[in-house]
Amino acid sequence: MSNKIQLSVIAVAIALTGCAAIAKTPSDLNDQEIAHVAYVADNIDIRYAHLALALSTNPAIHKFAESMIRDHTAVNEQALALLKKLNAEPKDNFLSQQLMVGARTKTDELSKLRGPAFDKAYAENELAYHKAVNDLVGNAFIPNIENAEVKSLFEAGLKIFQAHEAHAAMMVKQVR
Amino acid sequence: MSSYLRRGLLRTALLLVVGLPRQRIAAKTAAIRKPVEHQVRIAAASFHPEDLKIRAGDSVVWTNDDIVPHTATARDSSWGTGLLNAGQRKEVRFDSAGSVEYFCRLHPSMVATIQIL
Repeated sequence: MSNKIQLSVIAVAIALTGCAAIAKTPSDLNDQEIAHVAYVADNIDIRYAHLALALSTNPAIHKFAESMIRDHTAVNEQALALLKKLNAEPKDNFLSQQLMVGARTKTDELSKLRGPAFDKAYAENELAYHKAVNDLVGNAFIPNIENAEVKSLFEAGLKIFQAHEAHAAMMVKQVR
Repeated sequence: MSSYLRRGLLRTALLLVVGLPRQRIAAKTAAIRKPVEHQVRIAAASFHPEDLKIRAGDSVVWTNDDIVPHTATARDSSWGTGLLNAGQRKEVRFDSAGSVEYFCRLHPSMVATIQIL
């Protein structure tokens, strides 16, 4: 991986986690650790979506949130089924843990908001989150995944999450 | 028989002789052009092909080969496949000529068109 891409991947990881002290880079993760990060990232977005369904009354927000729950759940189910088939377990790691810390902070922030302020913050977070995760998956994970089936699933997942990013961009404009 | 009547009968007979094969040809042509079933594959968050040309009376079958659910829904809501889970398929027939844009209700950046000739 070129230095330029590696630096941008580290920047993305910092943006996602808010933590500058990273001992390893995302490119150092193996397939099982990458699978764990993806699983955690999916679950974080599912959690954000449930928060949106609970706190927002905006139909566009609800429609988006329902899509996030549906799609990220489907991808996680496929990922777990594939790992079971490969007789492998997802492995916890520094990036999964940092994603969780970042998500707790963001959830606390969003929980304090209501009405248009919540809608705006949720939409903007979804756009930023998908941009960052897609960058991570596309530039750090996919090039380094060793197993062909896992790589294929991540490639398919990336296309879906890029559609999410485009949908989030539309949503940001709608709730302005 | 008057010459006028004779000419009329002759004219009628000629029409029958000349006209009938043309009718048979037209009937055969109509029989040859059967409605065609076109395939659209949904994969990688896209419709394949994105631009499809068909004839009035043809049908389109959408098959979801992706890993998440999708729909194919007319922009004016006049038709749709409903929710297609992974592996599911749905056929829609198009009887009127025109150009239609459709999209996935769940992933609105997924758009495609059908031209019905």
